[in-house]
Amino acid sequence: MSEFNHQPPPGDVFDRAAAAVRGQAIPAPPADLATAISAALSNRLQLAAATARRRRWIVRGMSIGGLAACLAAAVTWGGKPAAANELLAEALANQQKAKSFRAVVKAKLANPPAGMTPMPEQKLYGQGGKMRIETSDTVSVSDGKRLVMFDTKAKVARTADLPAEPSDMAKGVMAGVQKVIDAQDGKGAVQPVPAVAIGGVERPGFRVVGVSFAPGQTAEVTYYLDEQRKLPLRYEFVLDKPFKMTATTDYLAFDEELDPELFSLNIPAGYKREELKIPAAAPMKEPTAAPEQLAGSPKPEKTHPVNVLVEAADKVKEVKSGRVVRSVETGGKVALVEVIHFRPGQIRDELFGKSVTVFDLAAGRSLKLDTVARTATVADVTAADREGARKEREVLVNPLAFLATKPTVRVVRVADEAPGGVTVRVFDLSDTDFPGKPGRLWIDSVTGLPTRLRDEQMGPGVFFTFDRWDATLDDALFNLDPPAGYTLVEDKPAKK
Amino acid sequence: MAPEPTDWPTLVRDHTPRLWAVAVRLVSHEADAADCVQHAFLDALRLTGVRDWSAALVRLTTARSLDCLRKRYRQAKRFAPLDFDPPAATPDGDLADALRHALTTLDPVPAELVALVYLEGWAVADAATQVGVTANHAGVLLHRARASLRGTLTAFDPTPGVHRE
Repeated sequence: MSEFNHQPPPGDVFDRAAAAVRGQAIPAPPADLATAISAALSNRLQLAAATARRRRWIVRGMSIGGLAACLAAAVTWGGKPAAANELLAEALANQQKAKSFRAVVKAKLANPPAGMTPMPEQKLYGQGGKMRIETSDTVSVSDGKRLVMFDTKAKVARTADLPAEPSDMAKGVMAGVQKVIDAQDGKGAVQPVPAVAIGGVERPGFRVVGVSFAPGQTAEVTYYLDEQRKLPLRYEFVLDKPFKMTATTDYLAFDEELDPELFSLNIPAGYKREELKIPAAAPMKEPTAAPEQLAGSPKPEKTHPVNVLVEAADKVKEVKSGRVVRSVETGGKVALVEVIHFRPGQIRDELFGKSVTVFDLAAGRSLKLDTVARTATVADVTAADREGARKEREVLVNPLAFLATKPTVRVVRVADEAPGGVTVRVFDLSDTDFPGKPGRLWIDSVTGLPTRLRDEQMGPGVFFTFDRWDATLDDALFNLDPPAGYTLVEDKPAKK
Repeated sequence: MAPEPTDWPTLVRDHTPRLWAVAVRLVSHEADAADCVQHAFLDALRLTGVRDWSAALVRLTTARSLDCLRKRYRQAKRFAPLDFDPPAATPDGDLADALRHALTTLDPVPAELVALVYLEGWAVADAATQVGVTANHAGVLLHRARASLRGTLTAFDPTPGVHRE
């Protein structure tokens, strides 16, 4: 294969087409583009952190340091010894044989995502499959089947059955640890690090880099060892993504006879009992977010159908810009009826085969195009126009607002859908005022904003498709200059 | 020195102008280009062990831009275009748009290779590395892609048949 094969000959139509694309004038990027991207990234990182927190079953509701605790526990009872580094291998082997352990975990976050607070120090106790995790105001005890979280301040004991199968988070941690151990098997991933003083004695350290324990999440793991007893004394877990975190576990003791009361699941007198539901294990994956979600932290998902319409309508009221497409779908055919683009002070309404109207309320001007007669009218915005634009935004951009006010509307959640990989909650709507005219609502599970609405009350097969919520819309959409080919006609005031 | 993977503000600040140019060139629409750049950064959150952030981000932006073009032309097929939109008018504009449209008929990997090599001026080996194929394989894909694109663009060629594969 010669290089010539990659180079079109001069004058080749492809060469000219490519040159035309390359020669296109590049406008300056929007001033707020970098800001919008940074906000979107920040939001996504928050979602990732929130997802990770939701799935951390053993330390649910506690702290991020529990991740280290989880890993510490996994190291204690999981894995197998390897031979690449004899001291480390032996220490890990002795650790897994230990009948009990005590440890302290300290987590440190660097540049934590917004909303994530520093995590308190945790004390860990483990013995024979039982675990106790203490923080300043909570104590969680688990026997492997049952979890009780004691809120010592509020005097509440929250109890839950643990999943029979460890969650994918735990699996990920276990797999990560396995990789750590495998990495010692001739892969050379274990690196000696400078010794540190623990308990007044210099302790040798070994670091394993690139430990992947969940999609997109890697960590560095460093052990500092007691050479005499051949046991780990300190274990550092450094997470790089989705945020920077260092969790240090100091092992205080192994093979002690721990007080059985430490692992008692009995609820003391004076504590109020609450039942928790541990979420079923779900595949670990990158969280999804609406593409146009540029800023703002996601709120916890509420699934009570009664509030669905109100919540979605309220969310739509908060958005600044977007696009709504009204179409009619019958017999497998789709007819586009209307497209509305809106952003603060501006709205563009395209009625297919009829007209295009652009209102710039800030400028006080409007453009009306008759796409049949190909005439354009530029006029001042009247009070009636303003009212019309307001109603249009209310009725067409946010049809849920009207439905939410109707006590006769009933909402039933049906199976979720995942078009394009984004989970969408689906609800069937019915209205006793309009029997036989059902509707259906699709809501983005991440943003809580509607993505689609089938509204038979508006007519058979009428669909509203909502996209580009809060997206940056093209300025050209709101241009008040008549396009080429249109005849400008005088704006005549209506006769009284 | 490459920035820390988590130093997203620096990555955004340093690379957005370049990615913007890549996206605008491909999608020829400012709002879509902004979306593509933003999506590319969000996609980048999933990357690990990146050695060359600039190349990785250009590749992601290219992929997103091609996705955008595919969606645009798919929708155009579904819905009739607005009849009041003034045409782009210039022959170069037509030819460029024809190439954009034609790119959407290719499979994703060849389309990305064409965009990176012929529109962004990358070396074949560099583009191959980014899309995850060997340089030889990339050469074959480019050869086939060019033949396919030339066939699609024939309507704009005043001397069809002159250039042989």
